[in-house]
Amino acid sequence: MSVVVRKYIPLAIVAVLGFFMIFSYPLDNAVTTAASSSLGKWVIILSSFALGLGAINMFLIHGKRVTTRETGRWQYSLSLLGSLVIVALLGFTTGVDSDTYAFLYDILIGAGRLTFVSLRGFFVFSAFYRAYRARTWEGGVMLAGTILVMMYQVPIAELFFPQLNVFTKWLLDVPFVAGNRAIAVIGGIAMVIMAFRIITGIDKSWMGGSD
Amino acid sequence: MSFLERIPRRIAFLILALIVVIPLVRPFPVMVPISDHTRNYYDTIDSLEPGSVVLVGANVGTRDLEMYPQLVATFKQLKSKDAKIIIYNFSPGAAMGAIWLFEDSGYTDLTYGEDYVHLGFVPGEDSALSAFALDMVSTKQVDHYGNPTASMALFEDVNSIEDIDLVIASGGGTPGPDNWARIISIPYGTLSLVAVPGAFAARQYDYIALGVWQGGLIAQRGAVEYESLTGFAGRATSMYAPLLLSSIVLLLMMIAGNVVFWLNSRTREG
Amino acid sequence: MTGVQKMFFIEGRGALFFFMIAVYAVTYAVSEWAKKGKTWELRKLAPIDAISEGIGRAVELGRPVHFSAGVDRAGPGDPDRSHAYPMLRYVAMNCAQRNCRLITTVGKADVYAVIDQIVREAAIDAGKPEWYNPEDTRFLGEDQFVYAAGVMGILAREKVATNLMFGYHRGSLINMLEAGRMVGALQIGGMARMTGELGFMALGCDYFLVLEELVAAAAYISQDPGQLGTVATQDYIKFFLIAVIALGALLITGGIEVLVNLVNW
Repeated sequence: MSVVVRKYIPLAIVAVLGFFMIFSYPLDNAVTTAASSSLGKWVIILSSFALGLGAINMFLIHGKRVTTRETGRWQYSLSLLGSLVIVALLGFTTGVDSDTYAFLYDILIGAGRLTFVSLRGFFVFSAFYRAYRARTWEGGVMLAGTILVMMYQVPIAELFFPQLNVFTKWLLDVPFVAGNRAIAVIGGIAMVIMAFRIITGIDKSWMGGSD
Repeated sequence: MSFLERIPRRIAFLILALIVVIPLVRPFPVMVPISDHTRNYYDTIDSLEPGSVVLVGANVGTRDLEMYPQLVATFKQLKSKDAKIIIYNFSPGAAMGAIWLFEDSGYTDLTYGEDYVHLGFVPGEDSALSAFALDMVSTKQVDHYGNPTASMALFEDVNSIEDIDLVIASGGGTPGPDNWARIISIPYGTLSLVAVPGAFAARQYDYIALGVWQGGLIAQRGAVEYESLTGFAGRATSMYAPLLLSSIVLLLMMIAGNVVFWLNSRTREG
Repeated sequence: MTGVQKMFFIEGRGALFFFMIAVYAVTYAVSEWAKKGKTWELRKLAPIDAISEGIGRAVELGRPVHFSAGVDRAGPGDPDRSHAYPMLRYVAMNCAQRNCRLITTVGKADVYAVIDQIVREAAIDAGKPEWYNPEDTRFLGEDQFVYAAGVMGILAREKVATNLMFGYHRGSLINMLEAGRMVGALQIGGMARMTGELGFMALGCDYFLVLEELVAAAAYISQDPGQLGTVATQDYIKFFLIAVIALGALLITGGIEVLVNLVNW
């Protein structure tokens, strides 16, 4: 594949469409508005294909494990592919709103997900108890803030220590928001700069190489 | 007190499991003071005129104890105000969750296509949402069930974000409320509310302070407060006691752990 | 709105347009400056040394290193992914040079090929192409919980010595970090966006890079003039914004709304 096709055409597409989408936001123009709306719809179509690509990748990777009988893994890959096929077929035949499909979704995904999330409760408990030590004064300040905010979230504390909660509310409304805002501004600047570097081709890492 | 430092992990997990299970077996009510952002959330919905159109970015795929009860109670209050709902999902799993929301809130008793519409999963995140805000029907030409949106009664007078009376952004992570704030609420100045789980609440306090969200439901506590305000007591309220007790125990153990740590370090220095 | 403003701009977005132009101009100028040989010295961050120590620890213990680049999408503008890739390359080269096994887990199918290529090219650049093992770059699943379950299994079964997690890991991060803790792994992480998981990362990691530190670490490691220039550009714009915010706060306190009106133009 020539360099023009492999490198310059993708860069040109990204540059034209990128700047177009960016400047359609502040500029009041019927053409840019209509075009950015259309481009948004193209993204929907492309994203749908990306979902399908994800499914194809799953088949390629896990299919290879099954066909080569990879030790210790092929059984899990087989069950994964089997589940994928069964759920997909069920969705196509009975519809995604059928009771059977909903039941399968609940037991395969819902139950597993909730189990995993409930594990998180235990792990957070363990992490908080083990790791939250005020070894330095900064750590002490962070610990004090954490205790205050946790007490704020626990309504019994609000009933017995109302003054403390007034202070905590101030803490959440003023310093916490100020810090968050600063982080949001910094993050926004970083994204604007990165977008410019990618759109203008200064940064080509998304193409898989630096040439 | 030094035994606290040597508590095996399993014992700590067992204590936590008991703390969670006991109030489930022997439930007890918990009084929860109403916070300002929850009250504003309630008041905003309460001020809607009958027939108002509400666009809900519902991103809940499981019947959890945070977002799901928040949205069920929200939908019930919206139904009491004769509001019409359009649901927009960022993920396929959320599209399933939306069906449960309509069922559990009673919207399925009303007319589909006229009182409520389930648009389902719309891939493309920000770009798709941006296009949807400009032209809803041509961006999402069919709903979750494959029905053409152009033929729906609800979309006769509604085709862009300007025609929407209220936006409710729900979800955690990316894509989520941040996307709604960035693409819809801030540029268009639409009346907006947020409903998020606790882990993603940090940014939302900022948006609430800025006035991007007129009110917000934060975590399970927000759901409990809202259920108390609306009178639609649900799972959040009935399951709040375990969360409360485990938070108190965690707090006490954190404090105790640090007290032991300080005492031991002073002993070592001595 | 003035006539010019009405003709071209949506109300309230004109100043944004010019600010963006200014940011682009500064970015381009700094980029050109970097190409001409200008370099910027970045403060060394402790986690960068810790990565090297962690790999050394893994070599001594005879156990592998695990690297995760996050579970978010591979979009070109994704801040976490873009900065996790240089970290992966650095870690892979280090591991190849010291002949330490590296297990790389992937949470999105569309980035599997990119990550695999980074590890393979790192082995070649380190002069050890035979070190590369395609079996050690593993795609675990699209869902965050599926991915986390897979990572927890790998950490436990392989008894990983050093666990490196750079990028956006969503809600299951604490599960993975505790699993690493249980096998005694040294854990180093980094995230370029502000979410609740940042707190978990602070709790569970021995060293971690917060937000811009990940950006700076990626630039420091690569010593790429372009990336160093990006960090410098961000700093220049930040200084400008700090000055504007301070000036605006003073003016608005004195009842002067000039700056506020300008920003809302």
